[in-house]
Amino acid sequence: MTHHDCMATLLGSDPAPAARREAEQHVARCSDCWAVLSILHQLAMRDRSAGADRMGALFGCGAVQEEMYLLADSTAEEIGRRHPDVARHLSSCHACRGRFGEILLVERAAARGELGLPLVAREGPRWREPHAAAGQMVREAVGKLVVQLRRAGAAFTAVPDGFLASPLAVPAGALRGSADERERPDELRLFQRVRFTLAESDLFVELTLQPESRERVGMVVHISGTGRPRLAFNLREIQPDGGSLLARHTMVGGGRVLMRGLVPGQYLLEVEEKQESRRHQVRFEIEATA
Amino acid sequence: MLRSAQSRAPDPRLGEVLEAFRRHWMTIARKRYPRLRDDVEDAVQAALMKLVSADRLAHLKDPGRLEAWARSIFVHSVIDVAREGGRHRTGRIYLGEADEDPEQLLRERLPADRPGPEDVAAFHERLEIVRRCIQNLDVARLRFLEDVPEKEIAARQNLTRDAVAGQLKRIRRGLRIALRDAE
Repeated sequence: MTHHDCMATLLGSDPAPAARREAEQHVARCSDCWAVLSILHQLAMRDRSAGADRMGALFGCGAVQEEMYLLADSTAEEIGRRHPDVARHLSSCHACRGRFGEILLVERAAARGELGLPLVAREGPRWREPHAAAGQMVREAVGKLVVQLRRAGAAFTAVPDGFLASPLAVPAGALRGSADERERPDELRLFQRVRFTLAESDLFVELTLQPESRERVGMVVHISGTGRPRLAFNLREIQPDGGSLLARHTMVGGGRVLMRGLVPGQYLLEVEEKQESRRHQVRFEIEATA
Repeated sequence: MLRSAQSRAPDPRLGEVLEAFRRHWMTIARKRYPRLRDDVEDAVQAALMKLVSADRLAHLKDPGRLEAWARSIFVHSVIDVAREGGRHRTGRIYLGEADEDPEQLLRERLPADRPGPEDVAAFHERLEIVRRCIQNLDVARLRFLEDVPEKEIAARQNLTRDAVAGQLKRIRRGLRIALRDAE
């Protein structure tokens, strides 16, 4: 039952008993519909309905809504593990589910760079800690890295917070179009190179795209830093039934690897510091444009 | 810098920062809430007030995620404004893209969870309060919109005639006060 159906049922003439029960249950699970009903009551009766002062505490939406921004880039498993109360609340509260769904969509647009440049500069990427085997430390970059295969060449179109991105040199012809189109504030930003530091490490990684065709792209991975740690670099393709290793290189202190012929799909790039038993993972997606 | 808004000497860059947030939110509104039109300004103003409120800032658990926090404040403000304007009841306020099914996204991003005993108890308590509230509204609707006699209202609502008369008396008194206030 939608919010609209719920109100139409409750405020309509003689609703069927089953529909009315369903609508009452919807309100009891939806602080937004309750707010509407409560205002109507106050307008009609010049008084709050009995028990209305307890509803805020009984719903408990305030604290959940305050924390939604913290969950936007967490997986279901992380939300269940770190915020079990919030997860339980979101499983049954219609108002908070709707609001969280909208926040997820807005954050996805922000991660894709569709909302313009970030307002707040970050010092480095944020990393989450997925489950790892005992003695292993795994850090996964938070946010989305997207490569789009475009007519004018492949480009990064979404970059996680804290990644430094260098713009793509766009040929003049690519900017042709109406003045309105050129000035659109939400125009996709295109980058050829991204660079990021690894958490708790002196290493940094630079990814540079090397366009090959409309269907394929090459990527140079350059790992550098201080000291001479023993490193392994892995590239996996993520598939619904697991992942397959596409490339593995070992190096000391850093190095440069060119990966050719990457096609649209989901990938996991991994830098392993062997002495530290530490792995950093960055997921990225290659998209084909229509 | 945001905290300084409540001080006697706000940070000189505060105005510029708030303007940057306002522009960012207007970009979100253009993309996702074009149907709200003029109400977007109300949502932006409400969100700016929350952004510099000491109480809200005290709840900012991860200052490194200020921008996402501010966006969530704006989204909640938009939904509140839409709800107050009745749009919440009459349909979606945002423009969804073809690949944007929030329920699908929620199923992917939320663990499958069941309410615990405390949640169930709270739900039943809320349900009782909701039923009482609706019963009061029913009496007003039946009498003033549908012109149903008090005796029949009592029978339909399973109330005594005195209880119906008492409720209607309170409603009339409320209306008189409201009309006097309006004058």
